[in-house]
Amino acid sequence: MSPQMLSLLADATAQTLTMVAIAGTLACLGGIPLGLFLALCGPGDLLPRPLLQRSLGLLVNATRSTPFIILVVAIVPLTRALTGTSIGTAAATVPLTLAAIPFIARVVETAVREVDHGLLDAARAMGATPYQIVTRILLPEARAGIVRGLTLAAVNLVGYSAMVGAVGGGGLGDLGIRYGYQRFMPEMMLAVVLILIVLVQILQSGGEAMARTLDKRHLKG
Amino acid sequence: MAIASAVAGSPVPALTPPADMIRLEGLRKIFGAKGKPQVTALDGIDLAVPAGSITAIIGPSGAGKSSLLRAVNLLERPDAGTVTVGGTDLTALDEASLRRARQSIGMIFQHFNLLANRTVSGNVALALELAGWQKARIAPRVTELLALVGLSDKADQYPAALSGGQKQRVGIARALAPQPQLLLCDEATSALDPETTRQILALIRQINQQLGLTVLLITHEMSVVREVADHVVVLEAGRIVEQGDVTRIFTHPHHPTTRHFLSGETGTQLPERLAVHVSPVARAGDVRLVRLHALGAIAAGPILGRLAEAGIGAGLVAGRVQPLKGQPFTALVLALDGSENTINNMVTRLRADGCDIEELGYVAADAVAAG
Repeated sequence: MSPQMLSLLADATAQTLTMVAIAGTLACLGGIPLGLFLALCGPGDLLPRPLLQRSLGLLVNATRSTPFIILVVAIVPLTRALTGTSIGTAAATVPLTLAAIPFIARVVETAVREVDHGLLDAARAMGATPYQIVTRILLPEARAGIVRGLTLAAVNLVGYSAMVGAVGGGGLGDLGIRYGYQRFMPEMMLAVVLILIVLVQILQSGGEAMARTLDKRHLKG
Repeated sequence: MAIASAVAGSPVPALTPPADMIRLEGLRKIFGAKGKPQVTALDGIDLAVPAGSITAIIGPSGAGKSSLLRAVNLLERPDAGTVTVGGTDLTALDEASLRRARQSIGMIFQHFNLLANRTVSGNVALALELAGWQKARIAPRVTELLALVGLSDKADQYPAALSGGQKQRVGIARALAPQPQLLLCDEATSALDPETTRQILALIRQINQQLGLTVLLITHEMSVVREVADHVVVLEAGRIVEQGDVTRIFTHPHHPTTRHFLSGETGTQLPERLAVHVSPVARAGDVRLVRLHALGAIAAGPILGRLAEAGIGAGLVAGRVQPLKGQPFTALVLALDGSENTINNMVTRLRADGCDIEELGYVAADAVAAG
């Protein structure tokens, strides 16, 4: 493999990592609070706001059911307003973030809802405030589930980031399509796929290891 | 005296025996969403739980035991009625005051409800953190409590590494941490094996005596009542059908539900093969079936000998002798064979001596023997 190709691969890897990192961080900032709201504010939950909860739930579903590539094109005006351009790596993080927020919200909601309801009884019996219940009981007990969900989200982001090549977002997917497919360079395609596999493996194992450390529910032999 | 003061218009002096820790008045709770059949969980409950006592609420499943217990700290708010704990009407409090009041009411649960991601000491500390204790005071208090429940060596373990009995000990330590006046036990031993149950009940008894803590527990097992309770409340279909001192309930149960629970615990349920032949009137060749409860000296005395001396044949059908509040408690089903008069006289004499004798009916002598 030529030095030029290696340099292309290095750049593309860096772009993918940048997109995943920025979009992932921003999506966590939006998605985790949204997920908590969905988990805590439904009818009969700790802090019921049923109408708003239902509306946000619908919005989340709507975003999640829009195919990612259509989302990318559909929000070009928003992307342009936020980043000043609709092409390039920075622009690509906008649809990535927007797609990841509802995904993260749902995995956080699921993790929080899976906390044993008996713990809420115990906490209320001890005179805990709703804020204490969230910070001292729900979040610590749900943390392993949240980490597993975020891992899933990160892996999905790597996959989505390959699609933003369509708007000149760069990254490994873009490289694979332009060089590996359109210029028929199978070795380039193979290299891209291998790097992606390694990337996903690292994310998955890292996330799982972290979740296991945080999860004290089972005895570890 | 109370009347005199009332007439004089001055407040009635506190002549009342030990104040009640809990007073429930007119509690009602109905479950069921709109359009669905409604279930009355609590149907007008009035109950006083004396301070320093261990009171057990027993009843069949669906009787409303859990709703009743959970009404005491308002985990479930009743639809009507008042809940007074330690002199404070909880139903009249706002959320913030209710939260403070709950810190003086400990609670333990059937499934322990420990935080899996906190160590044993972390779980106990949680109660103190929530109650706003200063950090410096928390650690020594946790150490003290773990010593009390016998788990000092498990302080840094996570709940997953503990047995059920140990988990419940953590639950007890957590409940006692903020120095409550009252401990609520929600089927606290139902998930434990008999030996562990005994140990946990002994611990509850010990805490009750050492700390003067009032305990209100719910259970569906009469053995729990026998081992730990001072006072028994029998609940059925959301109503209290019988209540009283544990020795009174065991020796002289009134209500059929109480008798039913008791016969299970004392092993004096009439065997099915006999029950089908029982007749309310005597026929030729029948023996008379009675269930006898006796506590203390009379229970340990020669009851069967007395029957024999009177010329009454007494066949043993079922029964058990168990300890009740440190005294022997005898419960027997006897098949009495003799003249009607002799038996009646003997029944009268035994009743006068404090035995509870319940007539079960008549059955053919060979039906008893056939067993």
